[in-house]
This record gives sequence, C-alpha cells and structure tokens, in this order.
Amino acid sequence: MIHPIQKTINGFANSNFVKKHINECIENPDFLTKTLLVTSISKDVFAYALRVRNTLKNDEIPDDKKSFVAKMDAATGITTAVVQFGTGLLIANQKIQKAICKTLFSQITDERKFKQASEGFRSVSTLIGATLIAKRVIVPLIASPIAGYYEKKKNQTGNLE
Amino acid sequence: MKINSLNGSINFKGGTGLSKGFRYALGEGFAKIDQIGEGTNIALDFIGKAVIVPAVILAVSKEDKEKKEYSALKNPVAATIQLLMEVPILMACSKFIEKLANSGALDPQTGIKHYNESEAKKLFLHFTERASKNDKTFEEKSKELITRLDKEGLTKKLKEDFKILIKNLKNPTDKKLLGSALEGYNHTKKMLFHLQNRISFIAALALTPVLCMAEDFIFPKIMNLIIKKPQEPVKKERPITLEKYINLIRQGGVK
Repeated sequence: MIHPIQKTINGFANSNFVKKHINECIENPDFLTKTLLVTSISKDVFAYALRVRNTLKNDEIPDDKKSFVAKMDAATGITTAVVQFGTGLLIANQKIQKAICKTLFSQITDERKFKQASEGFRSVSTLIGATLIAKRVIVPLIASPIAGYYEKKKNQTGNLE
Repeated sequence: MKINSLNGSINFKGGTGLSKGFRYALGEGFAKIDQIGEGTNIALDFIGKAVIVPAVILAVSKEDKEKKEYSALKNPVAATIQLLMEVPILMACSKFIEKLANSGALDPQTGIKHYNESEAKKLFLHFTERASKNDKTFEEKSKELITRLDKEGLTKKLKEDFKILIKNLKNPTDKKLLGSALEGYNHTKKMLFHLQNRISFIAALALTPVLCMAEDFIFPKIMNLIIKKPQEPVKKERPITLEKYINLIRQGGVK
C-alpha cells in the first residue's frame, strides 16, 4: 500500500501545474529569480500574519492596545513585502541588469559564458537586494520612525481620553 | 550613469574601478552559479539577520550603549537558532524526496521519467560505455570525467566538459545518443532539484508556527546564558527627613 504522504507528493510532482512551473524555472532564469523572490517574501508574510493572529488572541495585552499592536504588525508585514518585491523587481530589471553586466563582465569575451555570468548575477543580485538590502536596511529605516510616530499619536489620544 | 532617451538603454560611464583580472574572475564565478534555490534564500536570510541587522543597529540606533549592544547581539543569536532549525528541515526533506524519486516512486511505470536522477545517470553511463568501445580516445578522457561525476555530481562545469568530449566523438550515432542522454540526465537532475525546493518551502511554511514557538522558547534561554543579567540598580536612600531623624534618635540614634 502506498503511504498517504508519498501519494500526496506523487500527485503534487506530477500535476500539470508543478511540471509546467518547474520546466519554466529550468528554461527561464528570470522566472526562477522571481519565484525565489516570492517564496522568500511569502515566508515573511506568513510569519507576520501569525504574529497578528497571536497578538489578537493574547489575553495579556489590554483590549485597547491589542488592535494597535496587531495593526502595527500587519503594517510592518505589508511594508516588508512591498519594499522587498519592489526592490527585487527593480534590481531584476532587464535594462539595469544589462548595463551593470556590460560593465562588470567586460573582460568575458565568450558570448555563452557572458550570458551564463549575467544570469547568475541577476539571480544573486536580486535576492541580495531584496533579502539583505530591502528587508534588513530599508524596511527598518522606514518602519521605525513610522511606528514611533503612530505610537506617539496613540499615546496622546490615550491621554486625552 | 546615463540613460539613452531613444532606446531607453542605461550606460555606466567610467567603468567600475575594478581591475581587469578581478572582473574576469568575477564573471567566471557568476557563470559557474548553477543551483539557486531555497538554500540560497536561507543563507541570505541568515547573513541579513546575523550581520546586516547588528551593523545597522550599531550605526543608526540612538539608544544607550548597553541597549544597542543587546539589540545587536540578539539578532545573530535568533538567526543562528532559525538556521539550526531550517537547515535540517531542508536537508531532511530534500533527502526524502531524492530517495523517493530515485526509487522510481515519483514517476509513472511507463512513459517519460521526470524525477528519477539515478535512472538517468545509469542511462548516460550506459551510452558512455558504448561509445568508449568504439572510440579509444573518448574512453581515456571519459574515465577521468566519470570519476569527477561520481565525486561532484553533474555540475555545470562537468556538463560543459562532457559536451566538448561528446562533440569530438567520431561515431555520429554515439554522438547523438550520448548527447541526448546527457541533456536528459541534466534535465532530470534539475527537475528533481526544483521539486525538492518547492516541497521544502511548503514544509517550512507549514512548520512556521512550530518554528516560531520553538524559537520563542529557546531564544531567551540562550540569551540568558550569553549575557550576564543586568545588576539590580542600587536603591538610593531617601533623603532623611527631620521627622525620620527624630524617630531614629528616639530608637537609639543615627549611625
């Protein structure tokens, strides 16, 4: 008898969607880069969604603050996703990549090798741009002052009430 | 940087300032990049949390030195815990899928085999052996490449080396069959690699709640081990009041 896990994996692996998706990843390096960008971002989005859910369920947080904390988590999650995706797409842009690779790999005269180097650079630079620069430098620099502003505003409103 | 308004192309003027040798080596290095997947994502996320975040905190944060150092240290610790949980999931999942695929369990009994890398390798080796019988030069050179294949697997560089060798085969039938077998082997290997990555991603996503709980449980324990608990602030004696002074005198005097 086939184990249910094996049956599920088999069905997944042989579905038309997955086969088409994997073939596209092999044939099209641009598609692969964007797929990895999406998987990386979706992990963050899922983790933030989980945080929002946990905050809303946490009885130790007072009700009036609960909604604010959850909204801040949701806003940070959305900011992280949007900034990462935007940075990734910007770096992966054909024209920008072409210009950088032309300068960076000017010493590679073999056309095939130049193409391979450009494809490798495109994937790595896009992921570095989104995962390292956007997520770890740009997002905290944007999110911290915004969070500070809203916290201050919330405290002021709270005091008035 | 100059943007051409006619065709929209971008030109970087003045070069990169990097030496020719370095640019050549850089190009060679990027050309060798082959399998980018979830492993790359995990590694970059780790570097971001363990290196970039502390650097940003130390450079930008306006908090006092002690708080800044604590914030800078907690990120590499959290990143290491995350890495120690994510890597085994990726490895175990990949190994499990590889085993299933190489046993033929993920492919139909008849028809095209998409994921059985072991079978594709066997077929390629069979045609290599066949071509070796007809071509002595090929036999000698292919032996060395097969030793590398057993050691490293089918890397991008090795595939290129095999291609060059096959191109020089004298027998056209061997050339055609071996060329197709090599392409098939490479394609199957890539299909399996991407399947492993997608399933590992789904597994990591499904396990996120458990991973978060485990991280929340382990993290404070490790931080307590690394960092000495801040000393309790010394309680300042309240300035002595006249009333207290009189009471103390009544009780036996002030020391």
